[in-house]
Amino acid sequence: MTVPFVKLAVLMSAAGALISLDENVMFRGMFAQPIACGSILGLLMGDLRHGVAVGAILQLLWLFDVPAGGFISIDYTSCTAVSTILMAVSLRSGMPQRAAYVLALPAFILLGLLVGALSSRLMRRLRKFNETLVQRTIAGLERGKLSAVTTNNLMGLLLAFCQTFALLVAATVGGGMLLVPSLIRIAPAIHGTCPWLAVGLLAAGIGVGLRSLGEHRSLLFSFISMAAAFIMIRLKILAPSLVGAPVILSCLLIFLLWQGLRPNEK
Amino acid sequence: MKNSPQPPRIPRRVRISMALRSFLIESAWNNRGKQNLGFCFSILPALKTLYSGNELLEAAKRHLSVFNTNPCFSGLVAGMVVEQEAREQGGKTLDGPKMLRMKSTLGSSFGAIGDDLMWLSLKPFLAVLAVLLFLLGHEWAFLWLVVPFSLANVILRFRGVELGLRGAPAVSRYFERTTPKHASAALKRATSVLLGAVAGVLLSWNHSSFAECNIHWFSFISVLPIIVVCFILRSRNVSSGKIGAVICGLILIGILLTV
Repeated sequence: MTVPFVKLAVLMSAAGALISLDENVMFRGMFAQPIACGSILGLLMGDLRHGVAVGAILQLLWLFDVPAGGFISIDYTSCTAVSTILMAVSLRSGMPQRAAYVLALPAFILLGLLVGALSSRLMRRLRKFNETLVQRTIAGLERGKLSAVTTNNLMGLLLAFCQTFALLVAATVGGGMLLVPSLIRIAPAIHGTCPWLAVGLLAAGIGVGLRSLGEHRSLLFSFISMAAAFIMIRLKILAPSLVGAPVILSCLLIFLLWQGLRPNEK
Repeated sequence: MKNSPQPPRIPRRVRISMALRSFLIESAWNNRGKQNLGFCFSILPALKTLYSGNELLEAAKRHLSVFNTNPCFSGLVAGMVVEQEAREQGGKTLDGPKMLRMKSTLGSSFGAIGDDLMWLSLKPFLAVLAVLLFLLGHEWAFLWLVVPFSLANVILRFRGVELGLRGAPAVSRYFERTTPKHASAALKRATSVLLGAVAGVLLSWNHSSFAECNIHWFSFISVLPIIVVCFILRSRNVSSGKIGAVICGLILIGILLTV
């Protein structure tokens, strides 16, 4: 890994840390969701296609995880950021695209999951530490300093950013130096052509999502739409092209209107 | 409320500032007071227009009590709390414990509505829509998640402050007219339809958005068993992270054994 790659990793880690603030620190515009985080980082690295692919693979797994209140799930934004950055680095280092998806991406996601687990632990500690910020604010107000409210609130933001940034830099620079070269060496031996990971993780996400919906009627709806989508693609009605989106959106609109107009039984 | 005095009007610049500051309500989230510091930070401009000197410092300290709500609805709660503070200024006294109870009730009520509507209904719906559109070949699919959700988030915060400042009766009238519960039920059903459509696309996948390959035989035999197994694993409280790690681990082991 050369100096430009280290620079790229540091810059992208900063972008990733900024995006991850959207998860449970500020704004909450869903920029931290895997598909958005992967796409934005991919776009910044001039490789939107691979970024959105990494994000889409991971998106469905955490569909119903709600980082609300005291609950902190695994930090999927860090996981996506690490996977997307390392994927871009390995593709730039000359790894064939096929090998990158079949061999490298599972390794990067595994590393990303470790980083995500560590990040959520650190976030719990930070939330404990933030109690001292409140104490400082009270002390400041007692001394007549109203600015203590703003200063300490922004301090919480800064600490969250620095923590994630440091973690992402360590993971991407370390992963780029140790993992990418070894994977590039193995890559020529890969003969498989199937992106097992994409199918495996997307299907897993569907299973997890259907369970989290927790309604028997949802299963029925899913089964019917699965059969419909399968038949439509086979008959080339829902072709993987620009035609597909308006078809889906019109069906959804009709469905939502129908559901919205019906009184809810419960 | 026949003789309740008219509360002083909060200037437009302050209302905008409150809405913008509400985006940082979770900056210093802590285990003991939850969003207390962020909440105090978001209503500070309004407190400055209502109080001065020691009264202002006391009011700021009063709002460092425990507070937690859904961040998208924090503007609405902030508006309602400021409206009460303004009434207190107008002569109607509202003691500390009463304010604490009011904040806690408002926070938990709008927290429940917001979590269900925004996190468990709108977010999954838009996220699955984005994934489905990506699988159908749209590279900019993430915009379908980010743009509508951010728009809803921004509108809720700004509109929430305005509505909250009109007081509790206006808020309850508004929620009588709109039905967030129906909307969230409809969105959840639509999400299940979209999840099924993603499964249908995977089942008939003879192209790939990921790499040049032909995998229809593989996806056809593997998609349904994986969905069923993960459904069962989730029922047994196995986390998504662990499921993802097991799948990645198995794939890596399989590939490395064949090299």
